[in-house]
Parts: sequence; C-alpha cells; structure tokens
Amino acid sequence: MRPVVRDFFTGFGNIFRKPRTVVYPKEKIIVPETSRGIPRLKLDPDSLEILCNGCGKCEMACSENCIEIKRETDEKGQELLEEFYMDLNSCIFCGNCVDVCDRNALEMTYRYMLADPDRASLKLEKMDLIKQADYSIRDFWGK
Amino acid sequence: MLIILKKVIYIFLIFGINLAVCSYMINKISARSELRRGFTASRAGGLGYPFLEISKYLAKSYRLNIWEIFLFFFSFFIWTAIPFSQTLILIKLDSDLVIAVLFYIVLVFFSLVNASRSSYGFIWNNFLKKVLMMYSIFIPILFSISSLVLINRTLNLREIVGFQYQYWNIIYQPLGFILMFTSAFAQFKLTGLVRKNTVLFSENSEKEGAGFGRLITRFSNYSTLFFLLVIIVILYLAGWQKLYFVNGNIMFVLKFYILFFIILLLDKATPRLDDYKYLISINWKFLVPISVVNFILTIVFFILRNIYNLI
Repeated sequence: MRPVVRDFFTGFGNIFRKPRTVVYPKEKIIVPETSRGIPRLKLDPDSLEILCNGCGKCEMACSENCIEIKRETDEKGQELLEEFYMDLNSCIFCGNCVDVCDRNALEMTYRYMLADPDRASLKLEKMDLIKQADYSIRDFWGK
Repeated sequence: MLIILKKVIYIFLIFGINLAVCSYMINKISARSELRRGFTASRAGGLGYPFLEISKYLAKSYRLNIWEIFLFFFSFFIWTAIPFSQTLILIKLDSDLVIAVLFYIVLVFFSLVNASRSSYGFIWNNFLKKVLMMYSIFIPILFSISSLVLINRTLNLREIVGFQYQYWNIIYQPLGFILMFTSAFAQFKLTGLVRKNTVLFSENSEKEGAGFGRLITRFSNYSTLFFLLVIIVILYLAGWQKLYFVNGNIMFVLKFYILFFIILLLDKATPRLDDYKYLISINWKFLVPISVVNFILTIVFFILRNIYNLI
C-alpha cells in the first residue's frame, strides 16, 4: 500500500513540475557537456602548427578503421604528419582516438548534425578537420 | 413533449462536453504525471485532441456488429434514469436506483459479449473468465448500495440527495464510500481507457474493431465510468446539494472531476489488473469481506434503531 501512496503523490507533484520533453522548433536546450561530435585536429596556439606528429596510435585504436594517416620525414629525420583522412560514414564517435593520443592533438567537438546526401562530403581531410575548431564551443540543439 | 426534448438536449450536451473534457484529462494528466507533455499536435495545447481521436476512428471503414448497436443505444439509455439535478431527469420513477443499476449491469454485459464475440472456442472460454472478473467487482458495489439504501430507506435517487441536506452519507457510510470508489477504480482499470487491457479488448476486437465499432466500445467504457462516478457523487457526496454559498450544480461538477482526477492519478500508481491473482487479492480478500461486514453492521444498526427503538 505504501508504494501506491508514494507514487500517487509523486504523480500529483509531477503535474506542477516542468515537463522533461522539449517541443523542438519552439524550445531548444544546450548540447550536453559530455556529448561527442566530429573529432578535430588541434593547433599549437603559439606557432599555429599541427600538434599531431602522425604516430598512428589513433589509427590502430580505431575500431571502425575510419582513420588513415600518411606521414613523412623531413630533412632532420623527424616524422611529420602529411595527411589525415577520416571517414565519418563509418565513424561511431566512440572517442578512442582522443583517449589514446599522447600529445592531446585530437579533441571531440560538439558538431552533431551530419546528415548529407553526398557520401563523399563525409570523408574529411586534414584541412577539414582543422576547420572543425569552430564547433568546439557548446551550442543549442537544433541550430 | 418540448420539455422532454429540451431535457434530452441538455443531457446530450452534458455527456458530450464531459466526454471531451475527460478524454482530454486522460491524455494530459497521465502525460504530465510522467513529466511528458501529452498530445500537442492539435491546436490550442491539445484541446482538439478528443475530436482528432473521433475522426481517427471514423476514418477507417468498419462493418457494425449487432452487439455494438446494442452498446451504442444502452450507453445512452443508462442516462435516462439518472438525475443530474432536481428537475433534470428524463423518466421520473420511484425506484430509479434499481433501474439505473440494471441498465449498468446490461451495459457491462453487452461490452463483455462484444469483446468475446467469435467463432473460435478459446475466445469463448476466455469469456467466462472476463465475466467473472467484471462481475466479481460488482458484488461490493451491490452490498454498499444496499447498506446505503437501508440508512436512507428509499430507492429514489432524488430523495437520497434530499436526505443529505445536513450531513453527507459519507459520514454515515465511510467504509461504503471507500469500497464503492475502489470498485469504480478497478472497473476503470479493467475497461482499459488509459491503456489497452485484455478484458475488454480481446484477440478478436483487436483486429476487427478498428473503425466506428471501436469508437462505440470506447464510448460505452466512458459511459460505465461516468455512471459509477455519478452514482458515487449522488449516493455519498450529496449530489447537487449546495455547500454554504456555492451553487449545487457547480458542486456536482467539482465533486465529479475531483473523483476522476484521483482515479487518473491512482491509475498511474498501480499495476495492471489483467491477472486474476491481483483481482483475488483486491476483490475477494479485501473488498468483498469488508462490504459484507459493513452490510451486517448497517443491518444491526437498522434493527436496533427502527425495530427496537434503542438508538
């Protein structure tokens, strides 16, 4: 009998509370803090160079094999990143590539609306991934 | 003749507005108690929802069953014997309580037959179980009504309301009110107005009763629930008696909707009653024994007071 009485008063109180659901075009809520969108390649704030050195750990950690890295060696014998391909058609946004990176060169942005009729537009290159920095600020749903 | 026509129109209006308001309340309150928004697609915050629901049923083609035609008429006939105020009653009888209860029994029977109509044997086997479930709830209602009739010594509903000008019957029969209300609540759960239920929506009617027939069955379910609530308000809560300066008709409506509101919230707090085990634990172990005890106590008081003049 006690749970029935408790649920009765909980239901009665809920009538005066604000509903949890959102009517989409009229109301918007801010993107949750822990949500994961497209990964981006970070830049060094002083020299504006890519932090990634193309070690390939993220490529190995990726469970969907959507990351492909090409690296080159300069005249000093240092390994550098030449090209960074990411196929968002198969990406599951698990965040393993970000976790595994030693240099903190990758970061998940808050960009989530990715529907596109063209498959090729979801295959991102190095410059595309650098440009995703605009989406690293939290925004409202449905903007 | 014109007066009767006027009364018929009034009763139709009351029933129709009540139907719209109650189906809106069922949708909205059951959603808001779960922190949802309810139906918002129609205009004016979901006020058009009942009309949308009716047009949804009418949109599908459906061949009517004979039981559904009976149901359609009896869900109106049930309101002929029930008074909404001192004058607003279609057929004035000395014992309209008996007629109303009889109409109610017949309406429930038709809705059960309608749910069970089939040429398959196993559905007819379920039918007896359904009858048992629906009418076992009816036993405490009959006991509490009869113990109330012993107190007021009349079968006329208008006279019963008239007797309550000073004290409501809930003071004389608190147990009876609780029993009656619990039975009405169980009836509400079994008719499946909020969610689908196996008692009145069987294997057969799930497939066939999609169009106008489903509308009629829902209509009759609302009718049974309204009947029980109106009878509770008239018998125990003094019907249209005015309270201090508040008008009697407003009091009638207020009491009806408060009861309906409590039933809706209780529905969210309790499990489904499909299983007969639940029904045994609620009905046969709680409602029926207490109603019998209530009846015996009332008889003892009746004899001591009216035959031996002791109290």
